[in-house]
Amino acid sequence: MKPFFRSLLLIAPLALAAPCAHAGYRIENIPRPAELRGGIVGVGFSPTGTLVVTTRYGEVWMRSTTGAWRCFARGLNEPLGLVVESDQVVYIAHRPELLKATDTDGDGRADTFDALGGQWGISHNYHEFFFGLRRDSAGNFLGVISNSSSGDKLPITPGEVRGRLDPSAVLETTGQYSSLPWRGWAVKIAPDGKLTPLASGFRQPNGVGLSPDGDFFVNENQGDYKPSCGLLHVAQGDFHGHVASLKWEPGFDAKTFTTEQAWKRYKSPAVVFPHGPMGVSGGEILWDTTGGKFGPFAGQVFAGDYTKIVIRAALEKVAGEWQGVCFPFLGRNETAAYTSGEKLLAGITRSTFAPDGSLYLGAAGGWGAGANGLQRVVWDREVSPEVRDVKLTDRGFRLTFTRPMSAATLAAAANFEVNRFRYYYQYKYGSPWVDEARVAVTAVRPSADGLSAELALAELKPGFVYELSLAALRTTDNQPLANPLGYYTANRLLNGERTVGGTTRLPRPGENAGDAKAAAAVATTSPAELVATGEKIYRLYCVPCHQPDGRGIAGGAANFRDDKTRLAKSDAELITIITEGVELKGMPPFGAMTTAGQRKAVLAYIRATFGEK
Amino acid sequence: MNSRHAAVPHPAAHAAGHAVLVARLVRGGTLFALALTCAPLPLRAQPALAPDEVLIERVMLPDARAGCFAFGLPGGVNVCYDPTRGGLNYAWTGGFIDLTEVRPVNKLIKAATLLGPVVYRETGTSPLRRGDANRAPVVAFKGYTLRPASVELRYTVDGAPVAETISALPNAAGLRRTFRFDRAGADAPWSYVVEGRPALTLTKDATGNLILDVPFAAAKP
Repeated sequence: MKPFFRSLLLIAPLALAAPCAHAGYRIENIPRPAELRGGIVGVGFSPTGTLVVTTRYGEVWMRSTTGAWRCFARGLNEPLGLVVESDQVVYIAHRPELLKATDTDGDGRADTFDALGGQWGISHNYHEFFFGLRRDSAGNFLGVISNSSSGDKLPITPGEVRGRLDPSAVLETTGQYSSLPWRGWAVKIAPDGKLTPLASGFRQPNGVGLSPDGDFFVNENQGDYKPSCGLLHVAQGDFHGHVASLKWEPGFDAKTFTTEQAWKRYKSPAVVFPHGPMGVSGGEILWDTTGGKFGPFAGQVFAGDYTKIVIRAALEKVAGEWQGVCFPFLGRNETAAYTSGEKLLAGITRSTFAPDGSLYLGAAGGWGAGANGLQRVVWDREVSPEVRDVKLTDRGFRLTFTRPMSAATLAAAANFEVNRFRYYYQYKYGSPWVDEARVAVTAVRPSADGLSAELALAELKPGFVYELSLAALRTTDNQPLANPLGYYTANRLLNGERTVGGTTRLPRPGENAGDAKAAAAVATTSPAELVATGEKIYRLYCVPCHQPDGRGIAGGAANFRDDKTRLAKSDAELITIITEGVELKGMPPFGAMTTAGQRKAVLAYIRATFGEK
Repeated sequence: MNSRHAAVPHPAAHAAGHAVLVARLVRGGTLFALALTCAPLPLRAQPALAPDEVLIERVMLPDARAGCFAFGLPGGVNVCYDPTRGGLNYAWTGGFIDLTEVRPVNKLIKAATLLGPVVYRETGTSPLRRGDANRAPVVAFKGYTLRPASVELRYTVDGAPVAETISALPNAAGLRRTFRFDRAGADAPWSYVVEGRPALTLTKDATGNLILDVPFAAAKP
């Protein structure tokens, strides 16, 4: 079995742990007044403990510490982020501007709105967002102005835009473009409104974050020139991969620019969130600054994702650059031993920590799938068995655990499955895993207390994502890990060795262009083998949205079981949907991520499992 | 009255409750149809919408650039304001806007529907000009303040700060636009230039502000 498939059994919702009295994390739904409508697209707390949320209906609402809600502001356009200065002053990132909303007369409602920034171009294209918002120690605001989408067929005309319209193309794209100034750029906005472009190459990073030390990160979405979602570290002058935004760079010459030049400039993610196992559409980035109130992950990073998952990441600086590891945190293992209460909502892309250390999650539907709502995650002070962190060493990795692991399971190298892979850097949507290989663990050195282990690998190369599958490990009281899967992004080794393009390479001529060989191989397999292959693909790529039971996500991902019209389409129609996607329904195109044979196989699995018998 | 308005009333009106909504629509002349179709709405949690509160939306509007404002003034007078060029696009009377095609929000953006006839239009580049009336100035939007029965828009014209207050004339007969400047700006000659019309030289009132009344009756729809 290929390494690509070996770990797939780990990524569907798990039933590994036996029920026990403690649940670790409890998920609660937060009631909202009926008047608070639309998805939650911004969450924060004021210094006095007032909860502040923004909605896709263009409103800002506040919930005081007494539980009373009030509408603070209305009439905004996609207010996707906020910085709460006080109960009277809220900074809001919405589509046209950065606004400072102030309640000057103390009646509980903002009356004065100062426009800070707003020097970027906008049109009526639906995908043009201003993702934010963070404020650095100097008072500057940080955010990203996203690209436009070719999924919107509404023509962009000069009379309906703000800014200089330049429809010229930079290389080839398959979905997103930048026809107006600073679309696809991360920006810094000074308190006086002066805008400074920081870095280019962004697509749709629907989440920004600022580390406690002031490092700016965003959570990018996969797509053209974006092999997978991931945590990007943003510094002045960076280029993060999507070529469309380069046209606004002073001195840039599109006529002579090549894909290879773009790849050589590409700063790949500090932490790759592999598409599928780590969700498909990430959100806001949040550092655990609760001082232990949220569990044993102080200083680590959390990010919600549309597909009912909260990701946990741990960063380290290697040879001067950030990189690190990610794990599923909530949503992939919903057994009673680990979580209790409600299920995570689809669409949880906004997050903040409350003063009491609980994690608030805002959910928004309407981008193709998802629900509207507000949730809260509370740690019950029971430490779940997890890999707490993974650090790079000279020869492999050093793993630490939240609970002592059994000496017997920790000592066996066979209990540590390590695979590595990378991606194509390409104009097509996403990428398959390429250059996959199993990496032998040649030695394990557990600590005496069972809280850590050092792995020595037969091979350690920069420029790969290392997958760690640890389902066989057990704690001293025989519990499995709550989430036994992790991905370490090794852009650099400790000695500074690195590769061009980070965890990507360019496709070789003919690669990923045709897959006749793979299609022919599938054609010769038996129906049972076809379904078995399709199940693996379904678990990797389809489960996050369509769910293990095929019932999808309300309002978005198709429910194969209950909506019989979904599979009433012909094979050819369904293969086209899988290959090309349905942009307006949030269905990504899998044509560049899978072979024709894999698409045929996954359809066979879907029909066999969820179709009419 | 567009019947969909009853199903998806303006969020501000919806949240404020039936009584206030009715009061607003009486002024807009759309009470009857609404009264037939709109059940009372809960008043909990939401501060009541004051009768003189200005409604505001930044959604896509017909014949308008991205980022434009829709303001609903008391008295059934509504305006589409373009902050990019610092001017009015048009005004309409009656109800505010129908958001049925806009919300619940989905991926694609569609324009809201105006709930009344357009009774005034302006086209051209930035209309407010300091000094040379023939030169289009550089306008930079700075913000807005919602006041009882009016809205104040703040921007600069060639760097000179301007505060423009828009309110409705009695009986929905038109708009009053009041321009305030700092000392340097107040001493300069100001004109208002709309495409296809003669330039207007603005004169000060007793307080030093410039007043521009826009009567709808004289305007071409």
